[in-house]
Amino acid sequence: MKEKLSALMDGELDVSEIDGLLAEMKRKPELSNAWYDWHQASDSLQEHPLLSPQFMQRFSARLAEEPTVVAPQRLKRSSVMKKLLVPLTAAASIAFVGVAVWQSNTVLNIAPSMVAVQSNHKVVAKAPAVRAYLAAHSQESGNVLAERDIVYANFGTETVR
Amino acid sequence: MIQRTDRDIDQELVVRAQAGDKRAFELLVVKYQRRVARLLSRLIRDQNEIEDVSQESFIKAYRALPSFRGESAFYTWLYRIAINTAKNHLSTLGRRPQLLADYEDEEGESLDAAAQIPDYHTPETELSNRQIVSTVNAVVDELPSELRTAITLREMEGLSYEDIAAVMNCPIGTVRSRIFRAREAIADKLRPLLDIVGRDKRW
Repeated sequence: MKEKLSALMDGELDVSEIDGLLAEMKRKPELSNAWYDWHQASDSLQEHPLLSPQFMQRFSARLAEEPTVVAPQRLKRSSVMKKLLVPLTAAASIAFVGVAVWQSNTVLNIAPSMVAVQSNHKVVAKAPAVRAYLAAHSQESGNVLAERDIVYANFGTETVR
Repeated sequence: MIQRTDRDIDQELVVRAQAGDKRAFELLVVKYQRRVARLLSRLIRDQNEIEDVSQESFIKAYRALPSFRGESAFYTWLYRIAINTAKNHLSTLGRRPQLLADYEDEEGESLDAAAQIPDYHTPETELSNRQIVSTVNAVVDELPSELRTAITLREMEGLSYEDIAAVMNCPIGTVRSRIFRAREAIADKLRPLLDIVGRDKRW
């Protein structure tokens, strides 16, 4: 598992193994420690400055206070999203909607909200109550659009051809 | 240095952070904390301020994640946020930055101009950093040659595993294993030193 982490650091781990590894990191401090130590060594070789010892500890505390961002995006040139997207016909366009929600104590299930429409139709963003589901990280079907609710939101709508 | 494969791992972590995984974002912060601090040290002199503004920059980047769509590499987007955060910080204090330059280039090429400006290490961090650097170099020098070659080609030359395998005439799996073993050997020697100069509690 640690060797996989080393490969991840170099961007050489198979995409399908990343989620499992990240889950394992949450369980095993030695993996987080390794990530930290290896970057320390690497940065030192390139003569980046030292930071105070509590830098990450302080930052983690601040980040914990922040509302959790949930805004699944389509990133350009991303191989991850290529695997997730439904194959498109030439006439179809896809609108992606990003939402930011406040973290609550209950676990949120939020799916990427995607609408496939014909290209000569303009996507009209409606303003209903926002219901969102967290995309399951599992990629068993490779098609996260199957049987997901469609969510519309007021902001962040983008039509991509 | 930032390599092509860095963009891939960054994208993978950014996608997950955008989907609600804060831990993925923290991994990016661990990766870029010192680079951002080094960048800001060209604008801000005081070490405490540098760290505060660095943290502020990462928080701002986290909040801005919904607007990041991968038009640029994550790190150039991050660096832009950091520089703007630093400028705002300085202007609220009524100060001008040490260097005013235009950091518009998408690929970060123009950021190299900042490399000409000396940054402001404190004597203490300078000494500790030199100790860490010399320790790391000493460990690398003592590694078996195949481990040393692999980690050097990866860390200093930024070669991909595939390229390293071609150079070393061995399978990619062997490259991966050698780099991993080299990192572990370095970390083992580094940990006692980090305990002395101070290290982050497990986060």
